[in-house]
Amino acid sequence: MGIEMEIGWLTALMFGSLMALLMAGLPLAFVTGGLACVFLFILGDAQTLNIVPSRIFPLMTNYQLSAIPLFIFLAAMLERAGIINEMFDVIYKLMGGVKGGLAAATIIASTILAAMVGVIGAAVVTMGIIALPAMLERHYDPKIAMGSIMAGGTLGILIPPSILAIIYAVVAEQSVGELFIGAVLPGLLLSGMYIFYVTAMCYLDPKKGPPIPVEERIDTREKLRLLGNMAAPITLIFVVLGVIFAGVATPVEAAGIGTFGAFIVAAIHRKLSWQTIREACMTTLKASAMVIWIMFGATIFVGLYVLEGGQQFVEQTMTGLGLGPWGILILMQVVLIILGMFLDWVGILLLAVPIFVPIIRALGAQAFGLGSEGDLVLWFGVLYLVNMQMSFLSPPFGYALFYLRGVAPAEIPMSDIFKSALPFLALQIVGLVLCMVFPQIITWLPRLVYGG
Amino acid sequence: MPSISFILPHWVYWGTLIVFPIVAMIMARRTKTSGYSSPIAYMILISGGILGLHRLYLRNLWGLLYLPIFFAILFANAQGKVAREAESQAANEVNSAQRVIERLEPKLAAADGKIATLRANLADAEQGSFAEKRAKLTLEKAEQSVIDDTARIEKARTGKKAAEPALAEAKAARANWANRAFYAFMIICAFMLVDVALLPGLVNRANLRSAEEGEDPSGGSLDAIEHEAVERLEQVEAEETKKDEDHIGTGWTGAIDRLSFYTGEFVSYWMVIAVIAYYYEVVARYVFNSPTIWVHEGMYLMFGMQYLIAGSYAALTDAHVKVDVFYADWSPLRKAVVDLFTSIFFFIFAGTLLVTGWIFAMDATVVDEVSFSEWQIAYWPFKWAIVVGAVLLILQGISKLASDLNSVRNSLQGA
Repeated sequence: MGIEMEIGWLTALMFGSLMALLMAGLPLAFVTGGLACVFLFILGDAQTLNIVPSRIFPLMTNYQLSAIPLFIFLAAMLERAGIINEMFDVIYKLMGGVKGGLAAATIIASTILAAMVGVIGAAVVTMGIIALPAMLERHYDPKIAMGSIMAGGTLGILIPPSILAIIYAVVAEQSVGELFIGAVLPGLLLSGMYIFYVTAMCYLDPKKGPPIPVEERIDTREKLRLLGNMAAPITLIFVVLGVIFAGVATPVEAAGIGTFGAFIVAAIHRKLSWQTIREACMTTLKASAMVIWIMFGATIFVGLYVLEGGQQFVEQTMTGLGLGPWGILILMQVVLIILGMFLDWVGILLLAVPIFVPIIRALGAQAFGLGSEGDLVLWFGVLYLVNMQMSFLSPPFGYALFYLRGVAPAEIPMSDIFKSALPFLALQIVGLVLCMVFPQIITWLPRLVYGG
Repeated sequence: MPSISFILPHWVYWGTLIVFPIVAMIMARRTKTSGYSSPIAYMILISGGILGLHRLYLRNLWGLLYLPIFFAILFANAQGKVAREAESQAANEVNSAQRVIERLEPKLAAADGKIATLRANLADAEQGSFAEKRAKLTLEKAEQSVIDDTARIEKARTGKKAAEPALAEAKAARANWANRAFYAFMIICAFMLVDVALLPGLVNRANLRSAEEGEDPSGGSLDAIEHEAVERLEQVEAEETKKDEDHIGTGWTGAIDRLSFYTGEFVSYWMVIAVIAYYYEVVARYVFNSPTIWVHEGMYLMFGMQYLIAGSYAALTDAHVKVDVFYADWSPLRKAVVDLFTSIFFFIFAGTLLVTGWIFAMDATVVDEVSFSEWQIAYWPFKWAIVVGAVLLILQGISKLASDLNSVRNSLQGA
């Protein structure tokens, strides 16, 4: 129809209708896709709609994106092989004698699992089924127990390989490998803070996390045998991450070898069968279709908004508030946190990042005391990943909360699950601030590996 | 090291995409066998035997023996690559020196005659005339260039002499590393051949051992609570796939649901193809030094089709994320009515995708578009996947619409 519209009004109209339809329960992929078609027609004409397939096809032929189904498949195979519960079993037997050892073991197991999986659902659900009863039975404080499961589980999207990092890399045209490496230290930092917190709480008040009784502890020989059981999956992690970090193979190839390795691991655990493969394939199909279809819809939607001058509008509004570079950055993080309360991570990434990254780029690396533009985009990307950790724990719509609700004993009220997440949310904010104030946490390791 | 230069023919690519999922669908519906199995062991031997994975699968630690030999191949290949680079650098030096020599030698040979002519010219020229001055200058220039060229040719000769032994050395090193890699590979091949014969016995032994270890596959050290938890976990996992099948309705909408379900299952098995293909690519590159031209392209294009076709499967199984804050608390009637309204936007998107996708795919079909790469796979089938995905999505939308209308009708009748 070729209607001209002032960008302020257009912004209100586009994002207003987006919110309205989302609240009405239409899936995000179709909300963004449908609205994009409507606005393409309103602002242009029927011919403009031909943009739709020409925006989708590049995503279909994107090489980096094939890492997403492969990494999800890798996780699904390992999950079916029973690695996740064995991992917890092994680590808690090793650490059971320590005060708060089970909670710390949960977080350590989750951290190692995070290095195998790029999504969080599986880790939280499995840990909720395996680790939660184990802790409650030994009279752990339920809040510590649930908090450590949820916080540990969310590490999956931060610690490489992370699906979110792959999508960010595709959207911001960054190297996937660099983002992976950049996220290692922040991930370990958060994990370390969680462990420190639960151990400190349990030492201050041993009732919250008593050590397991002496007769349940195991001797060193048994410990070694248990570690031997974990040899195959741990080798797998080292191979996959090793080849990516050494630059020997691309993340996609690494995911391919990793999944082949997962088949072998499943075979060693005698879980390899066509049924297992079928279940893993179908789980993967659902998860990757969910992610990619949001990309289809949101790319067209945001692409249209940027084309209409939306990005300049956001930039002018932000500078119009009289904020400096740091002010703008903090404002962006706050916006991301608020979006995280309601939207899902892929949606936030695709709606916010294409608008935010150019603004950050325009502010320049010097404004934040960084060496190069590459560093700047990398830093912002990992900050975003750290930020998204919160979206999983923040009420009312944190995913981890609901995953755990699904498997936790019915007598635990939802409000307790919310409350148990709060201290960990606070730790995540501390982690985010640390990464903002000391960008070296993020940029040091990639520079060391890739140089420059 | 033998090199493999296999390029997947297009018909095999398309054939695999169609046949493999069908085989997998049939296999997945057969009953499960427990314990170690010979077919799996042989499959691992074929695909990962070079790493000794078939023995590790049977928890036979002799498999670890394969690893150092395998790493020796990788190391020899990497060294061979370094030697090849040194060789090509040395060869370059020799060649460019050779070219200089070839270019300058005839010039130098001709120079003597030229200088003699110039001398004669100078002698002929009138004393003190302008012509004499010019002839003198020309002669001096010619003499100077002879000196320069002689120096250059000398330099090229010494350069060539210096580079030749380096070239020979690099060549020898490359051949040496290639031989070592080849011998290591032969050793592994011999091991694998022996294992082909031994494998059935190994499988039997592994089965006997696991039977001795007792019923519990994970070692028997779990206490009651954890055992229960593991059982619950397995139950939850089994339910997940069953839950997907529960989404299939009855009647004519059930037919649509089944279509979405089975196309989804069909394309989901492509994942396994990708795993095998990428593994092949990496082995071909690092063990046989022959990267392929078709794996990457074939696989991302395959995934591209998969994403599109999977859209309706995800819609059927409710896998597309939505914001549940308010929606979850509504009554079924209210949900259905709101769904009817929001489905307008769903159909706008899916319809646009169908119509514009059709135009897009038609354009590619008419010109018989192929990819820009060496492999030159036809592009139009991938573009038609957009149309197929859109059609499936619209059908799935109709099925959902029908069930929403149904629940509105039921609620109104019930009220």
